[in-house]
Amino acid sequence: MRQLSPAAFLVLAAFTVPLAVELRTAAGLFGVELPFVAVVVFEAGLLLVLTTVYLLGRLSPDDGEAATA
Amino acid sequence: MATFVDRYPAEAKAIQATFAVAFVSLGIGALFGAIQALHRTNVFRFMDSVDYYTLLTGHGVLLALVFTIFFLAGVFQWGITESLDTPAPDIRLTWAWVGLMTAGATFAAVAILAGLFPEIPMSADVLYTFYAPLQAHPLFYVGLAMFIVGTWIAGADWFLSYRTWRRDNPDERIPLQAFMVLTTMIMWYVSTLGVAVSVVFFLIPWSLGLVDTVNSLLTRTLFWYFGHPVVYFWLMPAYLLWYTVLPKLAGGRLFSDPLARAVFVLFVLLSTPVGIHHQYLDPGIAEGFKFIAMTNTMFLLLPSLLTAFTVVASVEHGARQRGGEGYLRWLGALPWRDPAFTGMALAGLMFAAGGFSGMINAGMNINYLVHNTLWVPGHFHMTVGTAVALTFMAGTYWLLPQITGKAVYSRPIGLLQVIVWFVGMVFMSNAMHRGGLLGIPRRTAEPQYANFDFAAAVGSVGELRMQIAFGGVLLFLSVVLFLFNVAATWADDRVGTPVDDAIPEPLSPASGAPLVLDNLALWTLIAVVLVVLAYTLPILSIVSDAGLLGSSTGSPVAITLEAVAETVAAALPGVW
Repeated sequence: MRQLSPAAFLVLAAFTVPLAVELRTAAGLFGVELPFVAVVVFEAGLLLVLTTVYLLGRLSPDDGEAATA
Repeated sequence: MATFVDRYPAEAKAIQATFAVAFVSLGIGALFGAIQALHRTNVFRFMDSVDYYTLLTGHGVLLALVFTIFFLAGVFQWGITESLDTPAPDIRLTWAWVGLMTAGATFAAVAILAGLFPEIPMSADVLYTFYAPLQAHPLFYVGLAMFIVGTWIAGADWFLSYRTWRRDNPDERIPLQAFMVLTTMIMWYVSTLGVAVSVVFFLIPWSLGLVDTVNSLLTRTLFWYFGHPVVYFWLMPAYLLWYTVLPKLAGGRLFSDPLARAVFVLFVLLSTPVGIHHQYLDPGIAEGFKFIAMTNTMFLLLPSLLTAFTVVASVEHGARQRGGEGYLRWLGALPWRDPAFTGMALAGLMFAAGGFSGMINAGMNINYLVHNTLWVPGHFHMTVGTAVALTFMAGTYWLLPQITGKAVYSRPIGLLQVIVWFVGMVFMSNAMHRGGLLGIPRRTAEPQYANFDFAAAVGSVGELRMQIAFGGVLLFLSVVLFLFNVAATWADDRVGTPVDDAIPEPLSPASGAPLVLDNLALWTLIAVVLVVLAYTLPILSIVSDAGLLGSSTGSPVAITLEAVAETVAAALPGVW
């Protein structure tokens, strides 16, 4: 799997924040009222996916990346 | 390999001094900001709400005026010296403006902070916009006047360097960084005339008791004549770093030198004749003048959009030089671990969002919805508070090694710092914008009214308050990390090559730019003509209504062209 550098991981984690903060506003445009806890769950989900991608990249890097590492 | 401090040690000392003042102001101003965020949101209160306005003034003056202008003065001194490869004409002149600006900023800060101590008969709780009818101690205005005169001398210093260089290089194009410094200073000279007249002729005599009244609307108009271009005085140095340093950090080269020059010329022309867009709700200015200011303001979007295109194209070029491929996968090839790059990139991204909210402010009809609400500080915390401040902090990680000869103490702490700033600002400015849409006012310690609750469209006002407080704390934490990193760098030992400071040639070089772009006298003349056209009638009407020194007879003022029409009719009797 393609490796994610720690710096890129941090930057992507930062980008999840505006997505989560605006989640309820975006849902409101479609007439869906989400509770505050939905924002927390959404943000946690994004960070979980990101962490998984990061760890998988570290554990099983692509062939080319493993050779240059 | 020799860096800036080795080649120009005397200039480097002066730049170190400007940076030191900037960073001390940043620390104090950020502390005041955190206290305000916690006080206003009712999360943690330990001071009287009356003192809120003292801290608010200190926050605005120390961050928006002192931190930004001292830092950009250092950047400009570096840029002009480096790009012209010419030392300062007389280093004593350089120290003269550093000293005058520092003394002026200190006077203003003392006048503000004295307001926290009732036993001292001095205060300046006039906010960073400082127009009448709020009145400050004379020391505040005298300090501001000294500060502005100091910037004028700084500009003269840089123009003298340019004159020396031009004598030796009569046929060369002005190097890009020097071009950016000189055009920015032309804009600054034109725009500071308004605030200089306001301070010297009205506010200082008024605060000294030499005159009893001033025309409040006139001082407001003169302030905003300067108050909008000062935004570009902050922003153009950030653009200088985005155009000339960011592409290098990304591993590439500036996409187009001619486009960069065109952008700076547009800012010279368009920055000043737009200030009335800050006065859409002022009753003493006719709607037609406001409409003209709005139209001019919308033209200002052009250089910003050109910048977005050029900078992104340059960064993409850098990523592809580093092996990046695909439509978007090249983003992964950028040097995200470099705090200087990441900070500037995040600042540029947030500036795009700030630009969109700025368009709302600039529209006459939509402005009525958000005027004087929390939306406005939400907007300028994304523009000056992030596009400018975060770019300056990120730029420090590249510039400080050059002017001290010392490597950055910790790049990981630097990276964490710029990311914490971005996240903190997302929380705070988002909540401020949303609060503004609900009508929550700005500039008040007590935003609650009796028997009235603000109703949130999504979530609750309490959540917005928590978001502001949390964001404010993160921003303060980011400043603490930044100042620690800067202090540790400064305290470190010098190294041989602290940073790679070479700036590569643009892909499209200056030779492709029309020669007229370098005609600084022409752009100055056109800028002055545009200002005269935009401001003569509004100021005449303000003065004719209430006089130079006030005693207003009421407003709004009707402006009529009847007399002009009668004159024309008399001159052309056959037509009518």
